[in-house]
Amino acid sequence: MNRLVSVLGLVLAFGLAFGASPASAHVGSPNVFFEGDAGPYRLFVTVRTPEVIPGVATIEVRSESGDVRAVSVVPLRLTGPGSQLPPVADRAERSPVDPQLFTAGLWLMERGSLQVRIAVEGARGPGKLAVPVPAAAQRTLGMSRGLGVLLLGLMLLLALAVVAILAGAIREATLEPGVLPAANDHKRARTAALVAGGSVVALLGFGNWWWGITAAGSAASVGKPWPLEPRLDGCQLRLGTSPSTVRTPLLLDHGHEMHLFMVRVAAFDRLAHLHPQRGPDDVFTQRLPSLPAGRYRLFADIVSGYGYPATGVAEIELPDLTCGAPDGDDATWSGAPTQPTTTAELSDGARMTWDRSGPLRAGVATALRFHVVERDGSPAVLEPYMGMAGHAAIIATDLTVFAHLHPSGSVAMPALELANAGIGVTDPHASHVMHAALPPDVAFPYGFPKPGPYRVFVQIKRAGHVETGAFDVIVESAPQASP
Amino acid sequence: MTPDDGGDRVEPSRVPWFAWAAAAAMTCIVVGLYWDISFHLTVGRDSFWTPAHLLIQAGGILGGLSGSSLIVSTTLRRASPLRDRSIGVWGFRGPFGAFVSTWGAATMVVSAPFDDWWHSAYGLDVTVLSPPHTVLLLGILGVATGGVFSVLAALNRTTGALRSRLQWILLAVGAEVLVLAMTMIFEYTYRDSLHRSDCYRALSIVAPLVIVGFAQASGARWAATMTAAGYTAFMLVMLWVFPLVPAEPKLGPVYQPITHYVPLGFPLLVIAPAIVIDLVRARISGWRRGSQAIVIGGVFLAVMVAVEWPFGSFLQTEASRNWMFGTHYLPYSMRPEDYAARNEFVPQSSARLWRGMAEALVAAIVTSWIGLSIAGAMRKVRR
Repeated sequence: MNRLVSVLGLVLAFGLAFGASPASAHVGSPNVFFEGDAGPYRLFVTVRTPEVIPGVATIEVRSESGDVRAVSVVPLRLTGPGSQLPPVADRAERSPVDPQLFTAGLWLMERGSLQVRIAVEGARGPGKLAVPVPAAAQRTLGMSRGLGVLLLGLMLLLALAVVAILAGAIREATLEPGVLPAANDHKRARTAALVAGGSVVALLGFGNWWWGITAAGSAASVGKPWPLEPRLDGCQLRLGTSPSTVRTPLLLDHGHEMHLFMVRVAAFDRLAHLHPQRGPDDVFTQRLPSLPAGRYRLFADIVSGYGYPATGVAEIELPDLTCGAPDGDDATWSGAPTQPTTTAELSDGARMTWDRSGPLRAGVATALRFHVVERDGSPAVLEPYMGMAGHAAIIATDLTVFAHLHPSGSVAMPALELANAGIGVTDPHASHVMHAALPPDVAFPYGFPKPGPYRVFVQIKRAGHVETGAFDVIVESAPQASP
Repeated sequence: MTPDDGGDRVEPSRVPWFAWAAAAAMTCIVVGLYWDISFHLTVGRDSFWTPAHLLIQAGGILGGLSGSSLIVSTTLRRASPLRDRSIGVWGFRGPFGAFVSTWGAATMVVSAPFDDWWHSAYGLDVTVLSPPHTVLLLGILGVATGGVFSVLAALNRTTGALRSRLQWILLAVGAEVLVLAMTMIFEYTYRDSLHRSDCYRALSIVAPLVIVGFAQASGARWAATMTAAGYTAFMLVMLWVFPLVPAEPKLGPVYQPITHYVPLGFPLLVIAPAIVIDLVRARISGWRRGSQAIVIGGVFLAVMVAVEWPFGSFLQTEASRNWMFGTHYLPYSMRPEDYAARNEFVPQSSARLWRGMAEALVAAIVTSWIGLSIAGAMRKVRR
């Protein structure tokens, strides 16, 4: 069966870093949002990944400037042989409503670590961009009642017809022209109908069994959060191994193999952003900072050596921990639950404001823009936090959505570096902010995957300290499709 | 076409139109199917409206319309020349083959929404054998079988020059059925599998049934050879013509550089066992059917392995990477590390090989017996 698959190219190159159960990037947030430069053109790219693989992704490319004439897109693997030979590119269609928006449907034929390369033609010459896309099946589809009834009816009709045809053939097909069937012919026809009926039932039973196997295989291939097994030993948190744990080298993401977000549920009033270290036994360990007792939800981001990001989830009940302050890039935050608001007080007296007008709607790609001012209202000076102007964690209050964002979007930065290397962007840290003083604005390209209440944590660094702004927001339903 | 072409109170002196329609329908289907698989290996991107799909559908429509028009004219016209050469099904009357063709065409139509839903539920399938594709193949087999029985009924009622012409048409359709059957097992008989028992087990399941069935049913002396020769010629023409047509992959990731259509590969050497079967069956025609099946099945597998195993070794060598043998044509989606891309055989343990070969022998004997049995019934069909 493996050869069957390889001949026609359905390469399920997915269990490369993980075990049998395919992991998913983020949680409940499969689409990719990215903002970056294709040569002289600033682009906002949204990759709406298909629910099943192989399937068609929708690629939306919006240019910041109005001088882009044409956009084409092409899928490749992120690394390895499949990253070298692009197929014929798909030309994106310009929107009749928004001339700076280009949209294309793009087949993603394989699961795993892919990329979409975007070529732009415009008044300022050509430009290109590569966006890493982790592709995983999101669900399997049930059959609608109407279609089910229709197909069942047609199946029964065809099954009865084949029995009737065979019975008719046994009764009359061997008779010489003009000869009428005798009683014995009718008897043989009845026997044939019974045998044919039994055979048809057996065939349908086989088909049902085969269908069940395929459906189970498809369901097993649906991307799921990577299950973590947390264990507390004093102040030491151990994220243990399981059959589905990491087996291959990981890429460093901002200098860390893992980014762990711990949030106390259901109040969302405590947050810790930590960076456990992987031991020789593949167990990640972290000395926890002081945290109050409670139940914490854990979200752990890692990136495989092939550039495929995965998010592990778990919950753990913690006692009151007196373990000291966080150090290095680790950070904690505490605060009371808030009402939906656009301003957050930071611990050093500065204020972070979410610049937005109008409601946020599910499925709509946008830039979440934040502005930081000093206590006196003057623009604040920010510092890079792990090489970025900011980090954001988006969590639906029902815990079905978690996304870890950067100013470039929802892509994993090591995957982006691999994608950039493929198109000749040689500075692997081009997307990182390395200089010390940053402007007071930070934006995160994103689209909330579903309506409902969310808590948004935005982390920046000021004067050597990580500051966290927390915002509650209620995302409204997706807008009606435009005619 | 005119309704009375189908038959006469006296048997017609020329080939009935529905025999030509059956051959044309099968030609559309097998060419369309080959083209479709090659399209998947080369271009990748699929839609309902690809030329290959339209050719398959045209074959189905031709077979279905041919069958249903015969049923309608035979049912409604009491004076229809086929009236007394028809069977009755649910109040309708028509030749047996016409009912089977119509059923096949209807099944092909039903497979379309099923396949469409399947893609949306589980993703685009890129294998030949999936449940909805199997429904489509059952439909195609229905059209094919209906065509075969339409020709057979006319053949069995006829003597003289017309019988000889109908025999040729039957063998041509038989060759196309063999192409269809071999295409269904294409994934098990690829170049990297020619030293595995699965290849010979798959071959033993389909090939003796078709070759022996058509050989016995036609009654021609070299019928098995001609059926296999038809398959071989078809595959060779496709192998040599398809790479002349420029094409590029439209799906990624792409692992192999592609500039032209990728054919399905060099034909399997079924012609060799077919020749031996023709030589043998003339000598054992008086034996009991079970004994004949043991000999024919055994001969089929032994000769098949004897020729294909060493030929498979040749196909992995540099000498075969040319237009004639075509082993350098690789699907765009074949990874460089795949066995076929490395010109190696997929390994198999000796124990599995011998067990598989034993299963292949049993399969060859059983399908030979079924082929002989069906042929016996096929020769009796008059309607």
